[in-house]
Amino acid sequence: MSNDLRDDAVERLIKIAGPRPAVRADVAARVKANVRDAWRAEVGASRTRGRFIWTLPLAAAIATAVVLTITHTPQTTVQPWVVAHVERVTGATPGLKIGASVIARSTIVTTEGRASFRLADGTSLRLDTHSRLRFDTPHRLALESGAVYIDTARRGIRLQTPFGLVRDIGTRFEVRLTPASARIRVRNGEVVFMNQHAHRGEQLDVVNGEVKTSRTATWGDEWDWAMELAPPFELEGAHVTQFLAWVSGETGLDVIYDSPATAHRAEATTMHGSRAAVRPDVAAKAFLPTAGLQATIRDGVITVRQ
Amino acid sequence: MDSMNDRTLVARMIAGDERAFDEFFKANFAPMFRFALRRLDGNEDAAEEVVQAALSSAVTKLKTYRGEAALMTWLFTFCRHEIAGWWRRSKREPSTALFADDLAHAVAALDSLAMANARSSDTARIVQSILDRLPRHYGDALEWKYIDALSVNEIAARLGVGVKAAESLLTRARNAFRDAFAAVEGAMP
Repeated sequence: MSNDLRDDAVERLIKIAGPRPAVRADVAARVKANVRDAWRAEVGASRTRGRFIWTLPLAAAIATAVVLTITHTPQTTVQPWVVAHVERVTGATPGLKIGASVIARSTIVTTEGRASFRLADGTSLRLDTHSRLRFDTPHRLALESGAVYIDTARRGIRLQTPFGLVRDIGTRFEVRLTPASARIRVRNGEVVFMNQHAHRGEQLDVVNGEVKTSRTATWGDEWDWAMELAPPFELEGAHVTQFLAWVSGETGLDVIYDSPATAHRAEATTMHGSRAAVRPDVAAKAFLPTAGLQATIRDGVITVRQ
Repeated sequence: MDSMNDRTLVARMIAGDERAFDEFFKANFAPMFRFALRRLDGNEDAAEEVVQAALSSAVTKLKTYRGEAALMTWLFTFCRHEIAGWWRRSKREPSTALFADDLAHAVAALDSLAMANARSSDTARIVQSILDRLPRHYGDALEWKYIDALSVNEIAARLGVGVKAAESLLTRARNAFRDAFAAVEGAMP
């Protein structure tokens, strides 16, 4: 029939079919950003295959070279891409130095030590002992073994695991793998795994392809490893409320004030000092007295008193 | 887009040309998304995940593209792989939704369409799949012409070309549609 398909028949078929479904602009924008990341990483990495971590002086030299290239080359081209920096390390972490740059497609492996990284968008990423993580792009990572904790600065981080893709929707969460299972715990916000959404205080266990949801604490010993890698808080000039928000975010504890007057004092008081380079829960007890406040921690709650 | 243009586009992408990436995404994302959506029971979240994974994988393997098939056909192979993985991970069976690839079903549905002159979701999918697989701009131009009822002048303006070029493109688009339609028919047992 098609050999004789006349123009009016083509028209009729297309009219009968109706318009093709539109694709939402926000979906297209999100996918484009992430695919562009992957493409840039590939193009950049293909020119630097074999290097995994660059030190800052080298990165600075490259940045200078990039500027010179762009100055003299009219066409916009992709350059090797730094996607994160090492922020903290604890224990034995051979090859990982604070301040070192991580380029796209790098794989980081920890043994006895832990490390935290700062992604380009501000996201904090922490890698537990005996873990293996690949940085495909600033927004796309692949956890191959062990555990990672992610405190996202913006939604859109995608973490590939052998069991499927974890998508964050603005959150703090941990993913822990064993050879046969995955556990996803959400401290704040929301993540999506295989069409299942998990919110604050929820845990997804993936075993044999089955996903089960259960409740989990947002605080406690099992989160300690990530808390110990928390970036220091800059005390100088910060309001007490900002400090407490940091403590709450890093510990998973809820903050309550014993009275409106205490809450008002926290809002009105500015802190002074250098970096709080201690665990956030310890910092709460240590630094609040300098603002005329005290903190007690019990059952997942920090109670602030004058 | 013909294979020469596809190869040129891919070569520009391998060289790191940002504009080439924009062209690549603009030409291929929507057809791929709809391709995946049809095969994932209309699950938009899953389609987004699958297409992103497919495109992310494809852009890391551009050097393996030889131009033997159209770029979009090459991309669909990545998409199919990701779709299969999605169903496998979800421990579910794909529905029996009709795909344009399922030629016997497609032809039967097209015959039914021709006889009954009635719209159905299956026949719509087939025609829309054909439009998605036509060379770049052809599907859009045919939709603008027959569904949005735009004039050739308006289509020319949208494409950023002259009226003659738009008329020529519409002719080629109709011919390409006929060829694709004939390919489906010719595959009938």
